[in-house]
Amino acid sequence: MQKSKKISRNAFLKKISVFFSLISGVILFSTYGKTLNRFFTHARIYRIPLKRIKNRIYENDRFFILKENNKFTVLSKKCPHLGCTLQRINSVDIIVCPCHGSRFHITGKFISGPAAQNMKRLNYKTDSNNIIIIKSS
Amino acid sequence: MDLSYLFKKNVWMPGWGELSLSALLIALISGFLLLPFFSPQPDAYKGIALFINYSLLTHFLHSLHSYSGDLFLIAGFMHTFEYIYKRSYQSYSFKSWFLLILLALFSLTAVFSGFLSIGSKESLSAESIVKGILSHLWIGGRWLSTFLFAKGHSSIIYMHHISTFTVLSIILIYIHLRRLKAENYVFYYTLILLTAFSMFFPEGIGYAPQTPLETIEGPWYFIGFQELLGWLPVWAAGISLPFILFLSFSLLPFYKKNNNRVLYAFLLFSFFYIIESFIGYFLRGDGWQLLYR
Repeated sequence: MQKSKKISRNAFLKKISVFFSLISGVILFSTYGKTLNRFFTHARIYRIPLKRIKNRIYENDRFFILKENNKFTVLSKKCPHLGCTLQRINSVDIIVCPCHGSRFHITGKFISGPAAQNMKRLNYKTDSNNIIIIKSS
Repeated sequence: MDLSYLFKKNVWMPGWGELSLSALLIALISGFLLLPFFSPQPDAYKGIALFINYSLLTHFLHSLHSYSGDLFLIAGFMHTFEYIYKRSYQSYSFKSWFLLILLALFSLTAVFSGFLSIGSKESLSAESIVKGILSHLWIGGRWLSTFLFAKGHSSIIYMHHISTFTVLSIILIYIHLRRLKAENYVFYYTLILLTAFSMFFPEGIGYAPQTPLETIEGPWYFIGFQELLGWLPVWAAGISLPFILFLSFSLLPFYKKNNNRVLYAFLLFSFFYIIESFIGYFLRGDGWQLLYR
């Protein structure tokens, strides 16, 4: 018959305290993770002069702004899949992701690819001269 | 399956481990020589472009640094393959083996953080992808993302490249070998090989961040991974698969059976990854669409 290995009390206490610390760490993190995330998020405000938006579609390095019947649709240029910067194909109203090939209509509607969701629409306000976009990150 | 010819040492093909160590030393020396020419800029790409264009010597040193990083990865991969083929993992304790797995991980991150710190269009996209994957991580993703990239400070990943990951890799290599000096012959052999390569094929730094590109490819060793992310959901390709790989490799010392299952699994995965890389590199056209579309 094999002899069972004896473990000292100190070693046992050490192991069991590591085990319980890990468990409580996971529980604490999953419970308060969302609260902690607030420290890492902040909002940014962008102002774009209305006089710049002359054509139906305006784009800069962060947004697409679609102007139809004097109404605006502001879309984030970040792909909803993994955040690559989207590119517009000029000849057609299609936006593509150069990293994994997701495709969207210029209105932000998802067409195909791994993103499987529409482009992110951003809230905005207008004053007499600017369109003001508030983006949380 | 007899693959022993891949690991036979001879004059023109010294051992993979020694080759990997020599490449790391050359990367360290060339990186150290480049430091005085680097002036940090708010736009990381400009900073790198400035010292690349400073003189032929700095461009050569950058190519040498970049190629030695690539060779470090290739030789490191072949050295891992050698360990699997010879079943060396069976003679390791779990702790020592786990440190080797960490070494492989930190080596990869050391080289990849170098790619990320260039600040080109490709590396900024790769940074977005890493952040995107980390945002899917249930625990610690945000924290890790802030630790690596710190919002609005493009130089943080560069600091990790020259300090955190490099220092950790060096410490783990020392624990593995109890030395940091490569054999003289292998070191000079690698140096001549890389010098010739850097002189004839100077390495570029990619496209400027503002360049509109319809296809963006990551570094060659991650194209297969990029391709996988296009096929599978992020939680599967970006989180579960790397985690399962890390776990399986870590637990290898517990697999004591005298068969070739581990080798076949390793070969199958490598073959699959090479196919994925081939598709990503050669068959993807504008908008990351397959060419036949």
